[in-house]
Amino acid sequence: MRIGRWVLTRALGGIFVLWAVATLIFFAMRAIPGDPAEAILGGPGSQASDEAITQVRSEYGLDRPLYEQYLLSLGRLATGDLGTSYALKADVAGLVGELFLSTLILTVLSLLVAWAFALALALWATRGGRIGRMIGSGMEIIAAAVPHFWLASIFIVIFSTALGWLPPISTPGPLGLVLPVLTLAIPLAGFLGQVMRESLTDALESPFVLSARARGESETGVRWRHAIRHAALPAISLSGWAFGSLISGAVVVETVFARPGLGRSLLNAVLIRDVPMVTGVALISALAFVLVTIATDAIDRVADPRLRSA
Amino acid sequence: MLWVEDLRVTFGAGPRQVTAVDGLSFELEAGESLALVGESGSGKSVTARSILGLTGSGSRVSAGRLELAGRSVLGLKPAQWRRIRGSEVGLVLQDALVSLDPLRTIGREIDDTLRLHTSLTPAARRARVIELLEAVRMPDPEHRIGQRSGELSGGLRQRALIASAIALNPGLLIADEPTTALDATIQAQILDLLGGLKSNGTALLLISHDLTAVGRVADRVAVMRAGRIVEHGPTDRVLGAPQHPYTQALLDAVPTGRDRGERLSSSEPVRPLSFHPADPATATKAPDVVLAATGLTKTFRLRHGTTLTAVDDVSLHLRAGQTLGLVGESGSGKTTVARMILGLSAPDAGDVTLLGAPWSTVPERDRRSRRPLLGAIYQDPLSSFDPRFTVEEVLTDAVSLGTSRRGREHRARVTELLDAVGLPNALRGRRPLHLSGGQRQRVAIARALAPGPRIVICDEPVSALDVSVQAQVLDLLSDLQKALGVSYLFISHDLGVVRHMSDEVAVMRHGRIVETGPPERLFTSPTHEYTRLLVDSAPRLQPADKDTT
Repeated sequence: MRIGRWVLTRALGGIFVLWAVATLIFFAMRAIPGDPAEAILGGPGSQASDEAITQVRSEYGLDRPLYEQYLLSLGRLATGDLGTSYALKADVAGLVGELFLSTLILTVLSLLVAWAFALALALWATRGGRIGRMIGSGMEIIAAAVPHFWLASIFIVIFSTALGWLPPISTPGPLGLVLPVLTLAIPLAGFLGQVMRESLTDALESPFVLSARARGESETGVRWRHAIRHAALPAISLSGWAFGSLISGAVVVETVFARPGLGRSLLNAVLIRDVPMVTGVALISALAFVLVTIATDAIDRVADPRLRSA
Repeated sequence: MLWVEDLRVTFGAGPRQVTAVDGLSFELEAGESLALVGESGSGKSVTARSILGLTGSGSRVSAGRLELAGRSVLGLKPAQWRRIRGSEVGLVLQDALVSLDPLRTIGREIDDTLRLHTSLTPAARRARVIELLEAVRMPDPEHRIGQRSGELSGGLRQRALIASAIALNPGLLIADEPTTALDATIQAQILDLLGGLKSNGTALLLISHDLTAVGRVADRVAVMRAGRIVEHGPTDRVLGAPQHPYTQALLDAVPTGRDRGERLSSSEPVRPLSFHPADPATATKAPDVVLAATGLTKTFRLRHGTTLTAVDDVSLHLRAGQTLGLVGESGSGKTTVARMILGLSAPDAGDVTLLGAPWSTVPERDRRSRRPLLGAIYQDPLSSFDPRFTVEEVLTDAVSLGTSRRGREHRARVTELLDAVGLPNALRGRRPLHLSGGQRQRVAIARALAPGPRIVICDEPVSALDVSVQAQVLDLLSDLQKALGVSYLFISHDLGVVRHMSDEVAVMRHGRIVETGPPERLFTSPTHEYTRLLVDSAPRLQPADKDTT
């Protein structure tokens, strides 16, 4: 009963977010100066004839009032029809689906790697006393402050140009994923690490850890059996947000490493005003974000039994 | 069982080195109980931890002798310590809500001790855990084993914590403030449980700040101050005929069984405050009943659609210049009553009148001009101060009723208030975070008095304080009442404190007032069975009581 209600409220919230995204994109794309019909015909440089423009307008419903266009587009989206890309003249749903998989692999791997880095750093820093803590927090701040494009360039210079270990562009296969994943994961690991180290330090100083030590629990046992769950809780809650930031980070990383994906297609689509493509990419990203947020909430409830009774 | 000689524990090094324990010696035999009693910072908890090798990083422990069951534990390696902890020494800490891992079930927490020290199978360990829960008289252990500390009441989770400490029948059990967060009736049950373990042959080292609580189980009492034992002897002798002036002062500070008006501390009575009543007209012609609550009722809606009647048909009458004590255990609805009287929450039924005029039934807009008539003091003053404000700013804010924080007049009034609550003028520039607990509560009292109230609501005002500081604050409240003629609604779970402070006492349980009367009658011949239960389980200084009753 309570689970059912929880799922229902989350689902309704998710639908609201998707509607808001669709609405925002629709009006934002109209607010950009220029004629959408011209964009369909290949942009301002295409020298399209007036007849062609008029024909396109009526074909795409661009001559109808704005609210009618808005309702029509919402209606189409509600039935799952994302429309046809202006530039590629192909079904947006198919195009986006393919690209989404590639971006999903990149972001999910980055999230996992960031978690592993952050956890290792937090565990190491709380073991090393005062100096360990200082080094740990210094590394976190640096990692969190590094911008993606800079990190990507440095990695290419070191690992591709100088050492020749890894390809500078994202080739298919696991080797091509290493640099993009590291580029996305390191700044996030800095953020997550700060949160984890702080909550781990708090947990290690709490009375229940003293109780555990007084039972004869070892330092390793204290960490793995008790403290780590408390340290993970805030980081789990943060992961929903982190996933969103990874998707936007993917725009830069996919462009730098010439990797096909949602981020790079979104950039291209915005530049040529491909409205259905922009809407499709934005909606699928929003949907992924909503699902991940629901998932982190669910994991939170599993990890923290107090949330279930509250 | 335990032999400690010349124990020293220091923290830090060089000029910033702090000596927490300074040459402590005592011994403890099997089946015997010793209470280490002292105020916060006296080094009693550090002593307990040094016996487990858990004083933490940056500490140095040295001793002429530190023997456990005939074996020296000085300079043990971490792995050797781990074998001793849990199997030969058990530790019970204060408040199991945070002393048991809130994310794990109590079954797993108790099981940890068995898992770490025995090679029993999981099924055998589970059987033993249930046995242990039965031993600490936990009702329905099969079901409780899967619950977490947050799902249990204070008394039940303390029992679970004790079960995890005695899982392997350790020869020595250290209980560090085991009953501090508990209500009096539960406190008595837990102390009896610990007493029962002692009669099974366990040596019990009890650490407490509360002289009255330890009398129930301790055979001997050692009074600690600044890392040393100042007095040590059989419980009856130390509590009944203390030799050391510090022990005497601690005992004098206990309000239990001490008449109203008797001073608890050696502090000088404060100078009377030149008083500005909020409304001079009413001050000269004060009605007898300054505050009347009639039929107050408050119901809260809980999850799953159930409701909780927190306050049920409560009527109170507070007379001018008098103190009405409201006593009850946690969850009895005391604070909800205070909130309705302060006009912070609206009663579902009933009303409150202030100086004969309607109060709870009128809108806040009409109440605001009369707010200065009511003051409030809470248990935790620190969280009631804006942390960025200095003491002066806190008080000026209250004096000026939030209008301005400048002006010579305000400054003079702040000086007067600081003087009245016995705080040195030099503290006015400090922030509350840098004051002691007693000083903070004095600032809170000064703030409550600043607008010149006729009534002050005191909600557990001394519960977080050491007994000697509590004595000073209680004396201060009495002095101020004598000088200013204010009325107090004094809310507390502590019978001794309420009895000492009140002209009239109301006993609350489950949202209802079960009995009202003057304290002498209520506490010597209670008519309601709940009052009798409260009085019986209240910790008291057995020998000292004989003199006064």
